[in-house]
Amino acid sequence: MKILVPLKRVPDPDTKIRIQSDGSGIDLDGVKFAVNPFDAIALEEALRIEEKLGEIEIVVVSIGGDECVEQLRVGLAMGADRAVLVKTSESSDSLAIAKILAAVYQREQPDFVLMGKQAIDDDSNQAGQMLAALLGVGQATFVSKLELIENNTKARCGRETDAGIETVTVKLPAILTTDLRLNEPRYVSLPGIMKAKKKPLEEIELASLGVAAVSRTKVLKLEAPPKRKAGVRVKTVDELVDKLKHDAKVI
Amino acid sequence: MTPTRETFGNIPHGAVVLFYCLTVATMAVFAWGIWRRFKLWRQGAPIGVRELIAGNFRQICGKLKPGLRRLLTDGLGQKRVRGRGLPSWAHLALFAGFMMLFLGTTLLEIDHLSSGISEALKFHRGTYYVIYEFTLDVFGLLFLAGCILFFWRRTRRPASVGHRATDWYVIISFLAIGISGYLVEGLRMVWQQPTGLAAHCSPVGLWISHGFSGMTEASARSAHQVVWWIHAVLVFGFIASIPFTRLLHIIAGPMNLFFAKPELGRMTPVTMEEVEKTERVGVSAIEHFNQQQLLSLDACMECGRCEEACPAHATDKPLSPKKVVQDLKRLMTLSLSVAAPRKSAAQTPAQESTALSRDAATVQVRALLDETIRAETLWSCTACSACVGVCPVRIDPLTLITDLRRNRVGEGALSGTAATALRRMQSSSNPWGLPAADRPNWSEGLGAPTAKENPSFEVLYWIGCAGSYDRRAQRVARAVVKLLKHAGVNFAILGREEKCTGESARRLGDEFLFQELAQANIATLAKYNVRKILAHCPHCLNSLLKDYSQFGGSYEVIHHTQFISQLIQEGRLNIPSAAGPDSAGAVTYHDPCYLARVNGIHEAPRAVLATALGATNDFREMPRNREKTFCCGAGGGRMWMEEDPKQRVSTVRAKEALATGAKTVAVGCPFCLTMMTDGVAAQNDSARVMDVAEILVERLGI
Repeated sequence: MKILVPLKRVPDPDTKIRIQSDGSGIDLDGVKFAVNPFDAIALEEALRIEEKLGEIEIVVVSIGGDECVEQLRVGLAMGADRAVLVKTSESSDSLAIAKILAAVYQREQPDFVLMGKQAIDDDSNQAGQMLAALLGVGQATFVSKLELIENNTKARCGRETDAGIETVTVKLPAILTTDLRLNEPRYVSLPGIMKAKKKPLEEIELASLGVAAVSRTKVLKLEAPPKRKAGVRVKTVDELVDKLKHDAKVI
Repeated sequence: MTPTRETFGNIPHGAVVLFYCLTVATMAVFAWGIWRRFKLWRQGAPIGVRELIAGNFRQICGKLKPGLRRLLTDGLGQKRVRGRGLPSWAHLALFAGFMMLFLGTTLLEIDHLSSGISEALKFHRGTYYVIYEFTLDVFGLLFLAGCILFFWRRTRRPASVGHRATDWYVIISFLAIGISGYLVEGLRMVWQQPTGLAAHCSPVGLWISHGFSGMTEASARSAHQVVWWIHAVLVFGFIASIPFTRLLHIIAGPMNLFFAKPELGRMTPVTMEEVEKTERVGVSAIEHFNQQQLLSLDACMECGRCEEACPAHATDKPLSPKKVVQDLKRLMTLSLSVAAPRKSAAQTPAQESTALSRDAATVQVRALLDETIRAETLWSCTACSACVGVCPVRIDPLTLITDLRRNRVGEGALSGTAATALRRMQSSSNPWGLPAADRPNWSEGLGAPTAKENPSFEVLYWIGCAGSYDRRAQRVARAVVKLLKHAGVNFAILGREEKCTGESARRLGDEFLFQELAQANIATLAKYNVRKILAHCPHCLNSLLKDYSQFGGSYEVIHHTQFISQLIQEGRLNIPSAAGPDSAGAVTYHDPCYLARVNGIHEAPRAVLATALGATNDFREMPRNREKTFCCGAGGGRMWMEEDPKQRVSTVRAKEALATGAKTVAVGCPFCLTMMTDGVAAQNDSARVMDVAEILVERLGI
């Protein structure tokens, strides 16, 4: 069995993000990067499946510049067997990414893809769905519980919806996108990353995949959300009720 | 006539020959048994035993001195066996009796051998004989008293005391050795009929001989021979069984006392080169422990002191330091039975079987981490060091655990909130993951100068992550700054340049994250030429003091309570002479593990409290105080882990604190502050939990 896990390089979720004064992008000065936390959850799930079933090849793939090697090494240190870096200097939107991933999918022929439901930088939540559509395979998004059934030919997935957990069964191959509560990814320490340097990491040029990955969206401007106003301390319960009634209009 | 007795008196020549044959056989069994254990210890990572006896005489003495001192105080002096009431006395009695009887028997043998050379060399006579017999008679009683007490205790032993079937053999054979020894003496006196001093120097024997007064000399002689043989065989049995029973501790215990490096709060560094060479970090197989650690497993007597002191065990978590030691010992012993012939695997037909036994060894290796020591066991430890502090033979279960943790973290087997804390220490240099730039925000408006602003500072105030980011602990840092400014202390803080010390990373097992943080901090401290550091966090204090010195950072590090206590002594704080408002009520103080137990600082906080409370001083001590303090539950990285509300260490400690009737629980550590606040709240008690500095600030009204 083979599982493909895309890993996106994103600013570390614990870093305070500042926007460049001209709004053209985020200020990268002093920003640390990490594996997109949802992708880390996807990889952790793949590793747990491997621990349960054994004999599984886990391939991590990243798209971007040389710097993405750092995140691929983290993936290898977590326990992935092989890494693929699709090199491109262009910034890509969700559809472009989905197209590239589709090409990687054709090349690798995995049994299924496990990926984060969204990346925490642009929060698009599209690449997984688009990839499934491009490949014409099934999809289960927002997976918070995953179980392989019927001799590993199907996946029974618990999906987080607003109303509760929806359970769907999807035939493999499929694209499964992972939600926060699926698992807690393992911690990777420095010796783990050192050891992972011995694992194969293949770099391929985007052009060699034969995909025209042209972004159809363009980021015009980034703006920071307005600063939160300071709260008001109420003195009595009556005052609170009054404020909730008249100011907030919630009761 | 000179008082004396003939060695082997009444024992026929043939029997003496048989006796010596049996002696040799017994010694052979003993030596073989010890050799087997020795081979087990030797599997471990070398501890440089040869280096210990290298160099000139003076150097050797210097190297041997600490170990020998421990042998004297902890071994002969029984210093660490004390403090447990009756069982401690029982051990002391049995130990004293045993040592004296052992010494006596050795002297007797020397006398016998030397008198075999020449009758003139015999010294077992006259005054020496009288003193000898009397001493042995008295110490024999001590020995028996110890045996009887231990027998009684074994029938009603607490759950923490280990038990095996062979323990009954040991204790009953000891009793029988003592009793038969006296019988031999009594019967000897029946046929020998000594008089005067020669009789009265053996009061117990004399008393027993009265019981046989009706016996003829001939029947006394034959009875003497029979009991003498019983006594001898029992003693042979005892010596031969030492390596195979709990008695092994009489060899391994003192050896461990000699080799152990008993400094609480200090860990052994690992280098990247070692990791690259061995391709592993920490311990994943029994032979990865060092030789002293393996030896220490055999020194364990299962007395259970560690288990009784362990906060994880007290709260029903799957950890007992004693069990960790015993489980590892069992694994070590098993590894002996499957150990493959290591270097002799030549190209022989036996190769296949070698490979097989290698496989068996691999199975054992795998069993260490998942089966022998479970993950939940490893992560339950608060690194409070109580187990290390109470062990009579200085076994260090904590280091066994942290060595295993290192491996787990290195292999990526850690997940959950502790993993998140480590990840945040990596990315934001603090376990909360708050922006590094926000670190000095707590000091806004206080006028605490940074080292950059005040390069001529005398003391650097180390805030730590809790003081910087935790809202409650920020108030402690503010209180300390107020006191420093009030006393006119020339101090500075590092501000944004401070990073997490990495203390909990190190205790969680992430040695390299710790080293990364330590090196960054050491560089910053060097940049400002820092010599003296003041810290309100005992974890930071211990790390700066004992961890950082391993990486080239040597500082004088003092706790804020020590510093404040000095300020009070120097009269630099205006303590109001009138009695303050009795807002504090009765006060108790919770000793932080890394302050009191690990670094021996427990009087300074009490002194500051005494001043802060003034005339209204209603200070109440908890039963477990100072070095014997009980953990709050936050050490060893447990601060960053979820704890089942039913199993909270803080609840146990908070109950103990509230049982004193205290209305204020004083602490000296930001972790303790959090945990005790939670613990007190869980009891729905209105008692306040405050840092010592805050209580003083309240009193000074600044």
